Amino acid sequence: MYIMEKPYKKDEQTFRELMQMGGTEKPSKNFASKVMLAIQAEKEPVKATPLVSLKGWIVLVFIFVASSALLYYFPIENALFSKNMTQSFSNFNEMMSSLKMSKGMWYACIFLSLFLVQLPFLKRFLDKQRS
Amino acid sequence: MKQDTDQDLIDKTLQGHSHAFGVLVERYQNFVFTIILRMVKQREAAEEIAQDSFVKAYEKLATFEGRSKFSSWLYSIAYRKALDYIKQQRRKVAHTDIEQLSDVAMDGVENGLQQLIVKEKKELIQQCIMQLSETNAALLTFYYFEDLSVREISEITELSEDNIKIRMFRGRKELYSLLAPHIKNTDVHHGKAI
Repeated sequence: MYIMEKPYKKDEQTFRELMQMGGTEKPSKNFASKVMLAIQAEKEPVKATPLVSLKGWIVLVFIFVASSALLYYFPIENALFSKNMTQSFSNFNEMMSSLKMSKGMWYACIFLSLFLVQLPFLKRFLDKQRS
Repeated sequence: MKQDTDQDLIDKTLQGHSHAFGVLVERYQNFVFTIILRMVKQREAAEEIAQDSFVKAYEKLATFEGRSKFSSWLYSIAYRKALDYIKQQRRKVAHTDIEQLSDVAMDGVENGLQQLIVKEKKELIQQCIMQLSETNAALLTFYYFEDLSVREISEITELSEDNIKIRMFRGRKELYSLLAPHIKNTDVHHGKAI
């Protein structure tokens, strides 16, 4: 069997010389400086940007104040469709209370919700592993 | 002037002197680039992967415990990066099947090579190494060019020592069979230089 054969020293030496003759390849001239630039860029702290910008906050506050004012001056009892809305809420409550689920269905729901809760943790774990 | 050792440069880098890492880059850039190029077979991609490897080495330098040589640690980063790239590309680099050359035929290749001028020899060998399968090219370069031991290569590549020996044996045969058709003045099949 070839693998079991111990290669002759002469062959080894010849092959080594052959590989040495092949030499190394050279990257582009400014390779080292490119690497150092990339390292420098990594080192620079990333400026933290808020999730919601100042403009966004202003709009959100405006919407909150405006809806609060609307609710104050036009309470829900007087609002259009308010009766229908209350009716549909009570219908929904009735429907939910009459709903009966088997044990299996409950377990399925619990396991599904557990799985969904785990998702962000799994994602974070995989991201960490990849990096 | 005494040259800084790798460990000196690592210590300086960890103390905040990033230019010391530049010296390490200069020191190892050719070999790291060669290994990656021989695996991925494309200069542009190889240069990008080599750059990423050095950046990663810089980022993880604090975790380098010095149990192995810095060069081996760096090569393992480069090797894995190149493998990741190959997997991503899902490009199967076509490589020639090993022809079962007899020992006499191998002698013929060696005799033929002796007749080529140095520049031609170098180019021919480089071309043929580039045609080897990615892992075999890397293993042969580590062993025969960088003089690493099989154990060191095993640590870098995470392949078993037996697997490395088998692959290197196949790689040698592969390289000889790739070189054989290029040697015009040699009757490879009879092992005679005409």
